[in-house]
Formats: sequence, C-alpha cells, structure tokens
Amino acid sequence: MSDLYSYLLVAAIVFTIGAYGIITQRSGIKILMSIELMLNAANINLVAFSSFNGDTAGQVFALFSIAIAAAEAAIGFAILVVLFRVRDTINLDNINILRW
Amino acid sequence: MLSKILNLIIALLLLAVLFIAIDASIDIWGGKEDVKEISVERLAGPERGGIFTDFIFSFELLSLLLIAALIGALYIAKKEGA
Amino acid sequence: MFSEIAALIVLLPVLAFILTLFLGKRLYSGGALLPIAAIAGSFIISLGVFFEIYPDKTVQQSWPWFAGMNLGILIDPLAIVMLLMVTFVSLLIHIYAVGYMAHDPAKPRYFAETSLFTAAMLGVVLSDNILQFFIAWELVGLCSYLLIGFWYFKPSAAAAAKKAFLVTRVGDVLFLAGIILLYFNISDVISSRAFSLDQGNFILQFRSMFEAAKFIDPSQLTLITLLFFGGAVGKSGQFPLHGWLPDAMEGPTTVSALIHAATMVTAGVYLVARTFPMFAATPVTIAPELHIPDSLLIVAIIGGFTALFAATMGLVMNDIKRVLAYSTVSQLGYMMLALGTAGAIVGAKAVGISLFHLISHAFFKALLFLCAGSVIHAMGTNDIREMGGLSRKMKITATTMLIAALALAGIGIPYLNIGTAGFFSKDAIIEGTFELGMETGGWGWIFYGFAIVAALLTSIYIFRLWFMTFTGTPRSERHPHESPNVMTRPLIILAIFALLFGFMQSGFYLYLEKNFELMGVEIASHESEEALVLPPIVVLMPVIVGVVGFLISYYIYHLKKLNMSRFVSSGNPLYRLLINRYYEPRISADIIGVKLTHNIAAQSGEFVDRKIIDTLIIDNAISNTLFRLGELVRKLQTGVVQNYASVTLLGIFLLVVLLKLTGGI
Repeated sequence: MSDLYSYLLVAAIVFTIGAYGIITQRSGIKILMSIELMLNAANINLVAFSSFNGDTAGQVFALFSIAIAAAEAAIGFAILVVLFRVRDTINLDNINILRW
Repeated sequence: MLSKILNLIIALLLLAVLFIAIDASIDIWGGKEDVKEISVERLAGPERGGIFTDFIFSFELLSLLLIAALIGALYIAKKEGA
Repeated sequence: MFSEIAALIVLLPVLAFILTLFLGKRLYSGGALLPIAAIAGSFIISLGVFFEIYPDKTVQQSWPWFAGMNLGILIDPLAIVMLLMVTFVSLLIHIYAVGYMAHDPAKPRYFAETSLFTAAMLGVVLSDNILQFFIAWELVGLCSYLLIGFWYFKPSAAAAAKKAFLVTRVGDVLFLAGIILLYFNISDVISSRAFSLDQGNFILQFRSMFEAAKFIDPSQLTLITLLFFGGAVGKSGQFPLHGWLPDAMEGPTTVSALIHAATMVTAGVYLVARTFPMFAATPVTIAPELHIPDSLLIVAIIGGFTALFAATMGLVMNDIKRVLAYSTVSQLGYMMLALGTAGAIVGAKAVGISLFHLISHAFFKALLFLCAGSVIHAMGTNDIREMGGLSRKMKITATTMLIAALALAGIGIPYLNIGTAGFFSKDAIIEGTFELGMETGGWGWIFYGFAIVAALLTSIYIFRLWFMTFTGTPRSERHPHESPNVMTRPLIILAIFALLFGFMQSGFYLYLEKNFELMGVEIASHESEEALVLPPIVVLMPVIVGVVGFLISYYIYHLKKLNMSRFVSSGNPLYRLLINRYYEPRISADIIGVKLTHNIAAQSGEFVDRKIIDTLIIDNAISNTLFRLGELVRKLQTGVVQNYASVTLLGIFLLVVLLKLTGGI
C-alpha cells in the first residue's frame, strides 16, 4: 500500500459500507455505528492526503473530526435512550410520526 | 421500506460516484508515491502547524463543543424524578 | 471631562433597565432604586456637560456605522436644555412613583419600562443624525405602548395601548418616508456635485442635512419637511392624529405625567425644532401675502387649530386625567404655533420661544398630573363629579395644583414681569402671533384668534377642574388623606420651578438663538427694523383672558350661581358633540378600522378568491387537480429516516451524472 490511490480506494469502500448500513439497518444503534464508519472513512482520506503532502493540517483536521464524532455519537445515544424510554423500541422503521 | 436490492443498488451507485470523483481528480494528486513521515511532535509540539500553535482557537472551541455535548447528553438522558 | 462621558447619559438608564428587568423582584422596594440612581447620574452628567459647553461650545462625537451612516452625539443648546429637563422631570416622577406604585405587584416591570423609556427619550435628544433619531423615536413609541398597557389585564388599557401605537405608527411611516426621500435627494445633490460632504461628516447628519438643504429642489424640500411634520403630528397628538392621547390615560398617572406631559409628546416639537432650518428654507408659495414659508404655515395652522380644538373638548370632560390630556394636546398646539408663526418673523428665535414653552409646560403639566395622581390615590376615583372639598385635607396637593393651574392659565403681571412660568412662555407665543397679524394683516390674524380663544378656554377648564376637585362640599363619603412625603416633595419641587422658571426667559432666548449658528447654519429673519412696540391692550390681553376665565369658573363652579344642567345635558347638541369628542373615536375605530379595512378589503378578497378564481374552468377543475397532485406528492414523506437517506444518496448520484453529461466535471 504505497501509493495514494489505494488509501483513497479503501476510504471510498468503507464510506459505501457505512452508507449502506444507514439506509438498510433498522436498529438505531447500528445506524449510529454506520455513521461512525462514514466519519472514519473521511478521516482516512484526510490523513492519507496529509501524509502524502507532508502537511500537518489534514491530520489536525482529522483529530478534530474524531473529537466531534465522539460528541455527536454521545448525543445520538442520549436521544436513543430517551426514545427507548418513550416508545419501548429502537426500531427506527416504526418512528414515523413526522410523515404526511 | 425500500427492498434490500434497491438499497444495495443505491449503495453501489454511491461507490461509483466516489470512484468517478477519485479518477477525475487524479491529475491533482497523481504521482505522490512516497509517504512522508509525520511525527507526533509536529502535531502537538511547539512547531508551526500544530494544534497548540496554529489551530489553538479551534482546539479551544472544540473543548467548548465537547462540554456542550456532555451537558446536553446528560440533560437529555436524565431519569426523571431521581 | 463630562463631555467625554456624554454617551453615559443614555447608557446608564439602559443599564438600569436591564438590571431591573432581571433582578427587580429581589431588590429593595421592587427595583426602584436602580433607575432612580441611573437617572440621577444622567442628570448630574447633563449638568456637568451644560457647565462645560455654556455659552458657545457644543459636544459632537460620531462613530461610523454602515453604508455611510453613523452613530453620534450632538449636544448643542437645544439638546442640553431638553436633556436637563428630561432627566430632571423624569427623576422627580420616578421618586413620586415609588409612593404611587407602592402597592402594585408589578413594580419591577414598571420601573424597568420607565427606565428604558427615559433612555430612549434621551437617545432622541442626543442623536446627531436623523436615522438614529428615528430609531430612538420608535423605541420611545414602543415604551409608550408598554407603559399605557401596563395593566394589560384591563381590556380598555390594552385597547388604548394598541390605539396609541397604531396611530403614532401612521406618523412614523410618514417620518420614515421623509427620511428616505431626504436621503435620495441628498444623494442626488452629492452626485451632481453641487454639494459635497466635508471630511468626517456623514450623510443624514444634521449638519450635512442643513447644508445640503440649500441645494435641494424646493418642492421636494417642502414635501420632506411636511412628511417630518407628519411624524410630529402623530407623536405629539396634533389634529388629526390626536385620538390616542386622551385614551392613553388608561395607564398609571405617573406614566401619563412622564410620557404624555413632559417627554414623549414633546419629541414631536423637538423634531420640528431640530430640523427647523429646513422648515424655514421652504419656499413661500401657498400664501405669498403672509410671507411664511410653506411648511411653517402648515405647522402653524395645524398647531393653532389643535390648540383651539382640544381646548373645547377639555371644557366638558369629567375625568380628571382626560381634562389634562386635552390640555396637553392644546399646549402642544401652542408650541407648534410658536414654531410656525414666530419662525416666519424672528427666524431662529422661534426655537427659543417654543422650547421655553415646552420646558415650562413640562414642569407645570407634570405637576398637574402628579397632583391628579395624588387625588386619585386618595379618592380611588378619577371622576371629578365625585370629588369636592379636598383642599381641607390635602393642603399640599391643593396648593401645588393651584400654582400649576395659575401657570397653565398664564397668570402674571405684565409690565412688572412678575408671574408664573406659563405667563412668560404663553405670552411670548401670543405676542408672536400678534406680531404676525400686524405684519401681514388679513388671514394672518387667524393665528392670534386661535391663540387667544384657546387661552380663554384653557383658563376656564383648568379652574373648573380645580374648583370642582378641591372646593365646595365633599360629594363623596371617602375620607381622603394627604399623600406621603415621597409623593409630596416632588410636587413642591415642581411647583417651585413652575413659579420661578419664567424669570430665566431672556437668558434662555439668548442662549438658544445661537443654536443653529453654532452649527454654521443661517436662518433668515424678517424682523422689522425697529422693535415693535405692542399696544398695552395686546400685552394685557392674555392676562385679562386668564383672569376672566378664572372668574367665570369661580362664578359657575365655586359660587354655583349658574345652573349648568341646561348646558350639560344630552339634549344639548353642542354638549353631545364635545362629550363624544367630535365623534372621532367612533370614526377611527368603527368606520375606518372595521368597515373600511376589514369589511371592504378582507371580504372582497375572499369573494374573489373563492368564487372567481376557484371556479375557473368547469367547476373547480384547477383546484381539484392541484389537490390530487398534492395528495400524491404527500406520500413521499414517509417519516422513516432511512428512506430520506437513501433518496439523498440517489440524488447525489443523479447530480454527478448530470454534471458529467453537461461537461461540468
């Protein structure tokens, strides 16, 4: 794995897996995990470019992105907890009040 | 609600989009074969370009964001009455 | 050193507003001390600035804001006398309100709102460009709405607050139109290079306005100044936008004293005084034989008519505050009359004459309202038919109210120049109208007629009020008691000023005469070469009229020699006209408000929408198709988040395909 193309390919594949997870899975926790996957794919991209350019900016960005992903996951899980308290389920297929 | 096949197709379409994007931009980043080592001292040390020198403002804002997320998550998930 | 902190004059009451709003309940005496301290601070700073700029300096500070506008402070003689009056009267009324509002549970809200109001009024006085003036003006209107509707749970108070805001809004729209028109005219003048801004000056600053006014097309200038005057008509309750002032008496009496006697309503007069050079520069086309510039003529006509019109209604009102409200409208008409008539003759001195009456009116009108508040506090009713004989129990209130009544009626001794403040100020205005009549003749006498007849009616109604309230046998069973010291001390202080302020007349005129010269603007004056010596009868006439009014009221209401029941009955059409306030409330509320606006506009719109547009093309075909289409599209929103995510990804793909096809990427 010595050229940039491979890294970008890996990131693209991971991103697609994450996206597939979001649109297919029913459970809220699995969706949150897929979101984390997508974020990490973007991080791979950032770090790859940073290494090949010799610039630290990409890695700093990736560092911040990890921290923000953690914050967002925390809030996401808090919302899931309340959702479970109210609806006794985390099957997001049935949470469709905001429909037509 | 959409069937699994349709979802798979959509995901593969997304992969195709990403491929197209990578290929279309290949002349910008093409030819970078060697990995330059980026040590941790460059990220977190006294040199320019680190999080404690050039990006200190974002760093502090990030800490503020983390505190806000902490308080927010705690407040949302609090058990009532206890 | 006071000049550098001049901005604090406005900022201190704002700070008091914020603190009182949030912390008021927990403070001692419901948060009254903070605003009092802030306004006292503003007063001290104003005094300091006054001693620094007297007699011929000004304070000018400005900071750029946006798009060629600025924020700034201009303290010239005109502004400093208004500042001193506003801070001083506001301070006294706040102290009084500590006693008056002592039992009201919403005291913190009251003090916060009056503090904000004082800050806004000081902002109006201090501003050095007309945009900032307008912003503070609107804020003053907002505070007036909040304070009139202070007891919002009373439907009449809520309705009165709404009416006040809407009627002044009409004036404000005219004012804003004038500002916009002025901006475009000055921009045209600058781009055609007839005039250019000095370094560091901004468009819409008063200095620039006055210099540019020389180059603006005269008919445009007349339009602009008349639009400004429209704003003043709304804010100062001149005819035809006067209806909100008497209704505004629904608020607490201290609010009426602060806003509708001394400060907010005088903002309209202050506007005309501030932009006086523009008014004086308008051409003389409407009435060439009168030699009065057009805008000043309109100002004088409306002012004089309002003075008479409101005085007639004050004669029949039975609510103690309504009489004083109409009196305020009438006296504001006098101030406008002074600006219009004296402006044509003596030029810049007219501002001095009008402002002198404004300040002395502030003192004795605020005093009248506060005494009325004292009486209402003691008797629990506003109706003077239920009062009587209060002078035995409420000596201080009775005496100070008598002093204020004497000031309002303009009683004094002419040739010895001894008298109440109202004597000096009103006499100057009436003499000004007489001079205009002498110089022009014919139609010019109408202003003198307005002034004198209104003076007679003023004297009659104010002494009617005093006699019916304080003398005679008590008509109710309540036992009144004198108000506490915190309420009577401000009364005494105001009474002293109402008595003695008149002696500052000549110094005042000299100081204000130079007001516009300090800014470098000249106003033409058509004063005749030798000083006009007025025949003695003219000099004595205002006092004679005042004393005659006093005697008439004494005869009717104290000695009860004349049986008024023949006049004061519903059978008398003149009485019906006056007591119904010339049917103005019915006209504006029912006819204009409901019938014109709602019934005609709303219902006709509904008719066109339902019957005409919807039934287009065979019986609702268009509307039905649109409905069904909407039902179909509605199904897209399933509420399940994953569907939205998948559609988003699909959309990204389609976007990329489109870009590729059109050669974007």
